[in-house]
Amino acid sequence: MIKHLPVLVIVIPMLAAVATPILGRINRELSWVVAAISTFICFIISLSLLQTVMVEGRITYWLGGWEPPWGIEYVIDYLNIFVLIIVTFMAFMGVMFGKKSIESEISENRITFFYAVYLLFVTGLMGMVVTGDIFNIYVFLEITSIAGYALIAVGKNRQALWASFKYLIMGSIGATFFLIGIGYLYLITGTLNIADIAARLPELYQTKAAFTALVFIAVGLSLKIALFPLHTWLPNSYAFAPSMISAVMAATATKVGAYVLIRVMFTVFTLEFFNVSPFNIASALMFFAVIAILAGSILAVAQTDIKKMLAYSSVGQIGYIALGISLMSVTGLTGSLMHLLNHALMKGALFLVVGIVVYKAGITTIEGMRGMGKKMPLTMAAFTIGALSMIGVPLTVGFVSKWYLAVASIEVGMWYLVPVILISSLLTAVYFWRVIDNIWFKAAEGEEGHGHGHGHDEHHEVKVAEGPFSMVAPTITVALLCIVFGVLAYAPVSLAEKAAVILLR
Amino acid sequence: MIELLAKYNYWIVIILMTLGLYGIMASSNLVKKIIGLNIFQTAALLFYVSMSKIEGGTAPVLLKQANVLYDNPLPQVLMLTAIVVGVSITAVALGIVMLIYRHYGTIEEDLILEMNKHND
Amino acid sequence: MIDIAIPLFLVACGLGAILVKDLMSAIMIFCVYSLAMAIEWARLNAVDVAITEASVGAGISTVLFIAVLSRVRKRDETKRKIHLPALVVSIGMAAILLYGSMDLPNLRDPNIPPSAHVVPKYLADSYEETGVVNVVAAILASYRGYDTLGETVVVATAGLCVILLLRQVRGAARKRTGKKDGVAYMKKPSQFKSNQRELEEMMHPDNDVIRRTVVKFLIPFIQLFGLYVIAHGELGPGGGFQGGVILGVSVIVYSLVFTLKEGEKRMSVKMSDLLVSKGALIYGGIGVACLFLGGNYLQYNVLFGDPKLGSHLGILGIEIGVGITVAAVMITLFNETIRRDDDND
Repeated sequence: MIKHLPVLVIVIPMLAAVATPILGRINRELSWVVAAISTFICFIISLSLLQTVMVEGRITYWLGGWEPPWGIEYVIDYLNIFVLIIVTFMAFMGVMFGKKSIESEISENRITFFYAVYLLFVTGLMGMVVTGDIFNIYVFLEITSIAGYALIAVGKNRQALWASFKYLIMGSIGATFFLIGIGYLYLITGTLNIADIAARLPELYQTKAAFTALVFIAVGLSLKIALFPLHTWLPNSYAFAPSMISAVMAATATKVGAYVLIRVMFTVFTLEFFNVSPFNIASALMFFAVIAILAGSILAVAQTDIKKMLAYSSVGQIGYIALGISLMSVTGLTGSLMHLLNHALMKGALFLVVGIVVYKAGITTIEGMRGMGKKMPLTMAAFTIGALSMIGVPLTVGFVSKWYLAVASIEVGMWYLVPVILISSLLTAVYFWRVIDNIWFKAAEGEEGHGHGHGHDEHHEVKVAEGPFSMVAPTITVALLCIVFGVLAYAPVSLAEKAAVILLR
Repeated sequence: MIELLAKYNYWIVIILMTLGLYGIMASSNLVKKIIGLNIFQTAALLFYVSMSKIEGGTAPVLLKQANVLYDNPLPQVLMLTAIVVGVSITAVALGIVMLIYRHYGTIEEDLILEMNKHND
Repeated sequence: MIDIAIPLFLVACGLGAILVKDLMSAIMIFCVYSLAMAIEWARLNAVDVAITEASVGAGISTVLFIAVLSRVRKRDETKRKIHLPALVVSIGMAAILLYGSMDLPNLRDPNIPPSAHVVPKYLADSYEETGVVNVVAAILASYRGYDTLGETVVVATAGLCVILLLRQVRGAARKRTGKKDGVAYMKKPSQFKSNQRELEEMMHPDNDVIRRTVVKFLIPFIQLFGLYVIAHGELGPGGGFQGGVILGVSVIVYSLVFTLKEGEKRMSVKMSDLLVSKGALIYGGIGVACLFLGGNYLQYNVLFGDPKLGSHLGILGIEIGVGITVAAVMITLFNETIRRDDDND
């Protein structure tokens, strides 16, 4: 069975998902159990796959036993195992967190179908990551997208419906662009297997068709990862989705989109293409990345709702990932991949904390966070770690990727990108400071009479009332990982660097 | 004739995609947006199906005699998948539209945006 | 000549569907558009795709559109005449597409890369390797069978999503937070009622005995035909999707003529839910069985002693799985969209 692990990691959650409605009929609790077990198995399998990749470098698996390019092939190398582990880990943490959170946010009779659709969402994401066939990416992209639309639409507020519809329209346009791009590639190369396209494409680098294919794929994926100015679906989707979905989506969906972009740009096409192409696509990407970084941060400062603030901050962070890609150097790409990991952990932790606040207090405004530090010290500590990491304070994981991105900018002679990173970090500090100030240094509304300002804890003790263990534990775990990987950055960085070196070969 | 047909369907695809995208973006009515999306998607399908046809080819069902020129079956297979994806998206979109009507009382984008503004 | 005319007709229909303000007309034009598209594909010898488009695009989609329309306002009330940003973006897209199409290979040329590279092996070896005469079915079910599994899961996803969104949400409808707009909420009930009456009328205008008898008589044949199409996929056009849609439609037609309640007596909600999952489980399960028998995932030839027989068995099995899920999802989509609010109470 070991040699079948690459396909089992997809098939297990897929079959678990379609079986969930049947099992949920027997006992409603079972649906959560199935989701938890299958995502946990996926995480374990992906760790085991990592081990194999470390030894062998590249695993391939022929579906149906058909030799590629005639059949569909699964290919796992340093790049996608890195992303796969992020996705499976966050999917598992999401389910753990979701037990209580979803019960409070979704009516009871929908929970079974909710977990079925959630598992399909995760299956789609993982399927996009491990496959070596470009049309297969499209199929799984649609699975994850359709599931994602529904998961957002079940949010409590009616604005969730509008957010979901908007995402559906923009996401479908993006997917169709991707499909058209694949069509152009297929028409000039005659194949759908990524390795095979890569082998046949170099002689066609000069053609207009190859250029157009890349443009359409890149624009389609930019819609999916919400790269500014195509980000407009993201803020409301994250703000009005159920808390657990905001956390998992922010941590995984855009990351997988970015992964596919990297895969297309550097495996299907190569560095060589960008040197001969008539129009400098990399500069265009860099231009939008810089705007995304600045605009995302500025818009985040303007928000009063904490979920929206985090969502706009995601727009900025996606800019960082795109920036690393557009630098086209090993250091830049390493930074970009590290930022995939970082952002998954940091934003995951932050959204999970907000989920706990919603569960306990039902508020999402920044003002509403007043005095939370006394009520939920552990949870708020997790938030603070996530926030520090977002700002990029040394010893957190956020510092590592920003460092790599800055070094890469200098390496390729674009020193003017360093101030961009610094300014955005400053803005990040501004908008997180407002929250942290409210959490730790301001009293909650009811206690204002006792004294204003800072540090009046000697007078009265607010009762500590943390969220349920099943919610706090995953949150703390994810937050602690921000520090663990910040201090022991060597492990993920070496993996990311290996992936980057192979991609830019 | 053959020279004209060599590029003809590309142009049709491009026109249909343009129409579809314009329909999605320009109309404020959600049902119209979904119709636009459908036209946009089917245009992409036409693009694939067009490349499967070969001059003088027959449908790719194997015949007994040798030396038959067959059309390319692969794009057809891909598009079977894509049609189903399209109807799935349409179904979910229409489901969301029904919920939107239930909770907003309208399916006009402008009015919904107006209501959302007052919501915050 | 007709190869020139049909695409032009498509463009005309597309233009009409987008410009017409009356939603019912727009949907009807779109239905014609889908049919014309199916004819165009049949002209291009893509028979499987044409059948699917005719049944799914022109059939099911139209039914769903009309079902939704029976609930909502029927006019597109877009005020503005020409939407400038939309015009700029869509023409910009067209320009890039046109630029790229300039050096795309000529269509209908037998030597273009898609016909020259991967496909020749399919055409040469598929009968030997899979035992299937219809090469489309061979690729669909075997060479790229994993894509088809994904596609089945997409259909199941749509079914589950629609259930998640629409079912039993009625009672909870008012639980959604957010400021309610008095106007919109006040207006709704009366409007709903009138729409429902229309729906009622649309669904069974009168207790027409002839209609009922004819439908009762026809349904078994429709279903038989559906099963035939599923099984026929190996030999010619047809297969799980097309057959599944036909099976689903047979139940939908019954519900349309005899009301939803009667339809659900024949095919309960529980049953169709179960079948949505079961079809996909059969498909995925066959893949898992292949693993246990020592093959790769979905490698059918290990299923039976004789590889060719095993391949046949596997392909038939997955076609049945696809058919079940597709049929059940089509029924679910129809039921959930058409169900009236008070049916739940």
